[in-house]
Amino acid sequence: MDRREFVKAVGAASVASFALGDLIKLSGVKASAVEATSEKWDKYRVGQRTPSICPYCAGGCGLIVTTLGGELVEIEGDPIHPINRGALCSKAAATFQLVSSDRRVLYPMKRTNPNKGKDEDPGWEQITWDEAYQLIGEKVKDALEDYPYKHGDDYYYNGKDNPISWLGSSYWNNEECYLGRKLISLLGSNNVEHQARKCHASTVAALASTFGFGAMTNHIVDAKNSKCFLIVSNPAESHTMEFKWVRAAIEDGAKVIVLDPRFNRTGSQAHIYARYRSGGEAAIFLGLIRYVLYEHPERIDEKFLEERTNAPYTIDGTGPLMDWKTNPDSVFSKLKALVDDYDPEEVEKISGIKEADFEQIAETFSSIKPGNIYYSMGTTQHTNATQTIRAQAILQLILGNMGKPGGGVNALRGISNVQGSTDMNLLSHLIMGYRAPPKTVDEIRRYQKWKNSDAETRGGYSGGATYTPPDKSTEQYDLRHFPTWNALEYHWGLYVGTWPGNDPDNEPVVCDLPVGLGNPIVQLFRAVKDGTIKVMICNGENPAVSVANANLVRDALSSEHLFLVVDELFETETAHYADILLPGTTQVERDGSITNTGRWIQWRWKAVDPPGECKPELTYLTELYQKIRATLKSAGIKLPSEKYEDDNTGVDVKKTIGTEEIQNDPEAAWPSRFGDSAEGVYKEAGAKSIQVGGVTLPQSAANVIYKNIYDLDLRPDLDGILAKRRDPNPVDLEDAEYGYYKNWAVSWMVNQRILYQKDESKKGVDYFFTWFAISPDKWLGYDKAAIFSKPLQKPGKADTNPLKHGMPLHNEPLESPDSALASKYPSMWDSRFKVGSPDEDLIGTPDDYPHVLTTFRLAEHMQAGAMTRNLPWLVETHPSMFVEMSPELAQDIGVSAGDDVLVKSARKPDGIKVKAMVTDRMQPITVNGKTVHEVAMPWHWGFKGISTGPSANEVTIDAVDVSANIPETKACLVKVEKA
Amino acid sequence: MEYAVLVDPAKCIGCRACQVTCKRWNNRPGEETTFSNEWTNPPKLSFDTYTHIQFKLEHDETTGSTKWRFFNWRCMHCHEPACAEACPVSAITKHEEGPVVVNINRCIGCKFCVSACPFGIPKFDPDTGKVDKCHMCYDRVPHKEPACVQSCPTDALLFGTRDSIIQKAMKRKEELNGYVYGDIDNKPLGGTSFIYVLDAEPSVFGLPEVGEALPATVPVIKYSKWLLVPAALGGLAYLVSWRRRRMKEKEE
Repeated sequence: MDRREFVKAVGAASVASFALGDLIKLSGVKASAVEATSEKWDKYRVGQRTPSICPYCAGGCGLIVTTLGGELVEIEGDPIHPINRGALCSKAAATFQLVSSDRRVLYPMKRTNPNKGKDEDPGWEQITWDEAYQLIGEKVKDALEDYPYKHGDDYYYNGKDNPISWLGSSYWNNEECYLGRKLISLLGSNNVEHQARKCHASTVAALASTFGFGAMTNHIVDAKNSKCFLIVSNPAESHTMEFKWVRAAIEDGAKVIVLDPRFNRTGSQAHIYARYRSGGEAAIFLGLIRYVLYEHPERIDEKFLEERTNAPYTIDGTGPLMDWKTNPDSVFSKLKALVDDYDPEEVEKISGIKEADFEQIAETFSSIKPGNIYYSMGTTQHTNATQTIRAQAILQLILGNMGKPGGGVNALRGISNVQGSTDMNLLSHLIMGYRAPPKTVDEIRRYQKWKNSDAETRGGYSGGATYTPPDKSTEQYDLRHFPTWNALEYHWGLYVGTWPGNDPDNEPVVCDLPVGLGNPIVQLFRAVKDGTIKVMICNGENPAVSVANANLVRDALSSEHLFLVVDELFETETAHYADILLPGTTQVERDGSITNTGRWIQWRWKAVDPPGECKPELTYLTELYQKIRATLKSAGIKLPSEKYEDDNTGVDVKKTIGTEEIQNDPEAAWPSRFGDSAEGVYKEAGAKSIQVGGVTLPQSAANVIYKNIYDLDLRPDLDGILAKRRDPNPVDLEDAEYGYYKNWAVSWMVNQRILYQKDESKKGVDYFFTWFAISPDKWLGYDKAAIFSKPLQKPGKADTNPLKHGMPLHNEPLESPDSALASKYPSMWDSRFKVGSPDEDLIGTPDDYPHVLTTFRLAEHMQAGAMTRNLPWLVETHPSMFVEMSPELAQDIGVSAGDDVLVKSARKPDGIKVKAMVTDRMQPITVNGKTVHEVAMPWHWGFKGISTGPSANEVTIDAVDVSANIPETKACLVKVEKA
Repeated sequence: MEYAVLVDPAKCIGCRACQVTCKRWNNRPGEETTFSNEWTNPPKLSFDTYTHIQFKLEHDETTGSTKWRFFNWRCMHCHEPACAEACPVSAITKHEEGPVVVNINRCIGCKFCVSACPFGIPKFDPDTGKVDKCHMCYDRVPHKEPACVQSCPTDALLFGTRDSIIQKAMKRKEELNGYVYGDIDNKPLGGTSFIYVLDAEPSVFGLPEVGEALPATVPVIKYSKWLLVPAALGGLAYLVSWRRRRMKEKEE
């Protein structure tokens, strides 16, 4: 049909329908079935379906990607997925636009403008991947050229001063995170950090010290089993699918208590909502503990405390005391004495929650079981965060809400694989499954003796000096970490020990793992600024927006001496400072497993080919190390063990397991012992059992907590990859009742779905695992949760109480709005590190900065914003940066909704200019008798993307928690004024 | 078989999954919007936005209590749709399954439907000269629920046969001690395929009072099309004569 005929036909049809329209309607004829379709439906109907997991929050919702002949047709919720059952939140629903965005980086690029800064155009020039690798290899070589590998007679790289650093990423699959940690370790550096430091570092410290594992104790679907929720988070917005199950519980009669400085979308669903002042969290939880211990002792689960905690012991581990409930020396009595101060009146003074409201909250939560605590950044991002989370945990222990469906202390984690990236320990102080890297040569000497004790399976020196534990606590420490070092020696092709090994006390130490802890995130950028760090490889992370006091980060990233490599989907704010920008892939363009907030390890299948020259991250990592290694080798920069061989002619550093010689040869073990596929790396990280040289390795999985996620005997049809299981049917009646979904994917540890639950599984790790949390001087055995935690005790800090901080107390934020409270409850920030600048502390006072600032997230935006501020479907919902404030404050400073205001802090005295959002969701709070105005800003914005704006972190404070190095992004002082 | 959707704002958490999912399934672009203190964004339905969440914040100064409601808004898919009734070219059809669908190829952009709809739903787009609106995913129904319903995390949108949805609405009405809009308590334009169960008066959500019968204005709009006939005929005559003249010129 040519154009003219078409016009005629349409014209005729229009005329006909114009005249006949009334007749057609009168006759009642409806549209025929043939018309009831669309181009989209026609493609969708016949397309190919591939399961994946959402790339946004850590809920772990299932996606189904539909493609037709390679063309992306649709990305929707997976209807059979146990967590989301076909539903998605707004971000997840926009994944289609993320993948198909024309704003993605498509080619490797290099910077041509030597000047770096927010207002400098990088002058990108397209290069090839090979050119990029070559440039990176040269820079790594230059940086490591004079880096010492020999210290006295010992051969090792110092992990802290190493000039190479690595960032990210929680958006990456487990296999990629694993390889990231492996790669930076092979370069001798522990300067590796990622998103987890800024979100839940305090959770890891607090929950590991209390229960054993630093993770959400229950899982997403388990909310349906709760009868009462105490929510100090905003799951309706930040973890929307968690709220699917909270809503289900509400329909079954559960009560919801929401505590937040700002009335939010979660608050809208609450039975009880209370507003508090940011920084008052610890006092609230200590007050709740006090309420139970003093007002309702009959609600204490005494049996639980007696059997499963250290409450009946003394703080030195003596006991159990028969009269622990009354004996003043028991941990229980110490706790009781400690929380006595936090009566409702004091809680009101500190937090601003009215006495009567507080009593209603306490009565509700303590009287309804099982009760569940949901928390996230509101609790974790404070200088006393570790202690606040400990208080939450202790409250749940006292009420007996632990280790059961509907209970728990549930850390809601922010990014799709942040649990996995944390487990793989892209962190400066841990390596693979929360094990410590070697910190001293003495540890390595002990390790050699441990190897010698069972030379055949561990690869030690048969007949050499063997291990005798110096004391119980050292033995506990060693037995926790040594098997992992041993696994890494085998899997990574390294040598760790003394050479040749028969005389560990006197021989030279030869250690290919970096020795000593690296720099946590805030200190890392100071190390960039002072020139220690010369190369930073930053992947899927945007510190120029996401780190507290982003001014210093941007300043550091502009340093002339820093060579910055960024692998990203979009040109982010951090990429803007890069020397090399590499095109990454979206999560539906590659294979791999990820771990959700509830520890479910699920598989993502590749559904579409990446566009342009975007390279799957696993391939990028594989090639990157190969190229760096080749460049380093040609310059004589090698592993310490190889350098030892070079310096000692004729020496061949190796170990023998069974009958097999294991050479120090990382190439042979790169990217994995089991090939270069995601499945191969997965197997290396999580194999249940591996035979080498006729013997079974003492620890087969490189990551011990992932042990059993690969099990060929159980599922030969899936090649042993249990993360690929997609059976939503229950294994038994209990599974059906509580919704464990044990046939769906796999979870750590050993598929136990609710940590510490006694009757869930005969094979799972069902006990508290607090070997180091109780008293290092006295091992109480397993299943003793730590109400008192000696390793956290820091008698030298701030307060004079000798129990501090083995038990939680309230501490004010470093910038407190009330000087009387600040002196009564002194801040416990880590004062070794300057705040705001490397040279002087930039700390504001209430006189100059009278308003309290908190930061928050929106349902429609993601973290530092790259994955949402580049998508028009999401930008239309919240197109601009703002500060939310009460009508009272707006009136005080003379602004109306939509006006521009300046938000100033000691870090940003000129302030940032943002829109005023004036709503009744914010209200003045009475703190210690005086009115405090709190304001709130989303932290998603930055200067790149479709929607741009100032970053909240330009004003936040980079004071860190003394136990976890997490910045206090949730409370600082600002001054808001009309622009 | 007739189907319906139950909208239950009391279960809605305002995440806007429905709004984004609708754009995805229907391939509609994101709109360029500006800062909104109220959060409803885009602030109005449009040719490119078939559905959105309306945010309604109430604060009681005396008790200090705050209520924040989230309200999914879009075409009601009436039984006797005024838009379809008014359309002079039969471009709008009520399907047996429930959807009221604009056939955009037939639409002549006269905006009669815009005037006729008591809910203010059909939206005219000056760029294409067409009108469009939510079509209840007529392409998916009944094989698959509408895209927005599939996406909703909290079952604030439910899809089913009309009978089952009416039953659920009645049960939920009891639980909420509320009001059913679209059937049971009122039947705008003969009842609707999107049925709201509300925990407050419809006016709180901005829902208009609409009678069961077509508004008297609709036939006026509808038959006013014949006023166009003389003009159309005149235009046609002019075109014919213009073409003749041109052919003649060509021949010469």
